[in-house]
Amino acid sequence: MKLLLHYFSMHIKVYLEYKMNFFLTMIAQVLILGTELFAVYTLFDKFELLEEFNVNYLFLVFAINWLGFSLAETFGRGFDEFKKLMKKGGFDILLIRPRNIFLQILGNEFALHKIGRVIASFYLLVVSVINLIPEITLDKILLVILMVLGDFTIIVSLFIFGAFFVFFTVEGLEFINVFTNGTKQVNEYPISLYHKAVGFIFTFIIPIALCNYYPIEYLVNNSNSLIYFLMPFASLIILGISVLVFNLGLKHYSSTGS
Amino acid sequence: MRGYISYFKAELKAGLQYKTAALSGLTTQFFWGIIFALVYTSFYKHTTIQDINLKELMDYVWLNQAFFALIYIGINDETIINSIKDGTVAYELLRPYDLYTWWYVKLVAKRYALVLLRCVPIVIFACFLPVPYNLSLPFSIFTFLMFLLTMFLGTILVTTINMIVTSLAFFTNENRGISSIIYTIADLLEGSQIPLPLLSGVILIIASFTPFRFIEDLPFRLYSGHIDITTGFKDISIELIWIIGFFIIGKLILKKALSKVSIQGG
Repeated sequence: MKLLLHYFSMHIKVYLEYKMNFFLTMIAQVLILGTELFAVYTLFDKFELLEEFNVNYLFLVFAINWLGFSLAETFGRGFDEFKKLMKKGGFDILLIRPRNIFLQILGNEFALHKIGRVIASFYLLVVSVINLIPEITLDKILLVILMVLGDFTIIVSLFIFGAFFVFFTVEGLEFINVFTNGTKQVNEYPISLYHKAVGFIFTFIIPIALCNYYPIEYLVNNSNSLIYFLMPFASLIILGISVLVFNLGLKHYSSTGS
Repeated sequence: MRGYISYFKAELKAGLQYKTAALSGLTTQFFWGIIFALVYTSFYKHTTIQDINLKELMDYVWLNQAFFALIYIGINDETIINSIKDGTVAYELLRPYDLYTWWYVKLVAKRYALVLLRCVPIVIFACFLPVPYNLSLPFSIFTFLMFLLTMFLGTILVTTINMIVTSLAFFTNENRGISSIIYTIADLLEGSQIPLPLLSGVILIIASFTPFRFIEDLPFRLYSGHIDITTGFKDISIELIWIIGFFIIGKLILKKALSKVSIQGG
């Protein structure tokens, strides 16, 4: 943990060297989030579904999804950009060091310029929670945190899966992004909107609906079953599998250099 | 002129070498198409709207995926921007060619190389998908010809915009921030985020006055017959004015930038 913090503070220093560009990139990041949110709102408005799906409800689904995703993008960047590390031979250097390899890959790169989205989606989350949830209690706040963490864990796991493929191809495969970005894209909308098959995939295969769709029932007082608190932990299963798979790839790995 | 043509051919050929990347990009485009097809059909299951029907919207989605590289505004050439940053642009200036045209040709060739490797499989795949997720045949042979023409003009237009944004790199050393702001806004007004007929309110008004809608919205809706031919011709004439305008602005910016560049060393 101390190691990660050290890596993190080093990266902040690097970014702050280019202030103007950092600032403009932040604006761009928030703009991207804004246009995505605008698109969601416009579609529901156009199809007159805003009575069925409350605006704050939509924003909450959107905010949890984006907060989890942008946190993963910011802090899981090391796995996201694993191919770069691999190509330059940087991975071999990490392997030599007597530290946990996962921590080192994570610490190798932080996408701090994406922090704008983290802040913006956090803000949106707070606003929609205040507007949507009748009485905000400590257990509900805990559940929201669990949901975001679950979402984050799932996206990071998908990054790790992507990094696994790099062991065999060296050149990163663009289509891996489909799983991370695609998962985010699909979950910008409540999963109940879709065909049942889509719901099945995102409940039982990539269990992201367990982190941002079902537990909202508890938040809005539709149910008080404690099972909703367990749901986000399903993300640990996919994380476990991805780590196992990655280690498997690591065993087969024999350097890109000479 | 011959110089530019052979440069175009050379760049196109070079671009066509990246087959693995193309395969990967192709898969990406398939998946995105499927995701958008799923999202939009879900909406149409709940309500039907007057602005555009599902069949026309599916054409829009799949054409967008198939011709993504021709119309997506965010496609830049890293080598051009890097040459400005690290000064190797000096070599380019020594050529007996006009730099604007030279880079322009390079950017267009890159787009065509990307699209040639991707569009055919996507179009075939999309045509054979089950209804309502599929890409339909063009509305008529005439609208199809109009589609081809406006697709071509759309690429010409989007590249003139790219040239302006690229030239800005001469003035600011790091232009990633500013260019991503411009491209995000353009992306929305172009109809990449959601097709323009689904927009409403102020944004729709802004979008209908800015040139970005000619890039993809016009050709895709001509294809499906959502825009009729007379409107199409009217739009093309406005588009041509924008192209000339952006061309002149781009040339002026580059000229101004180059007047400040001095090459050192012997």
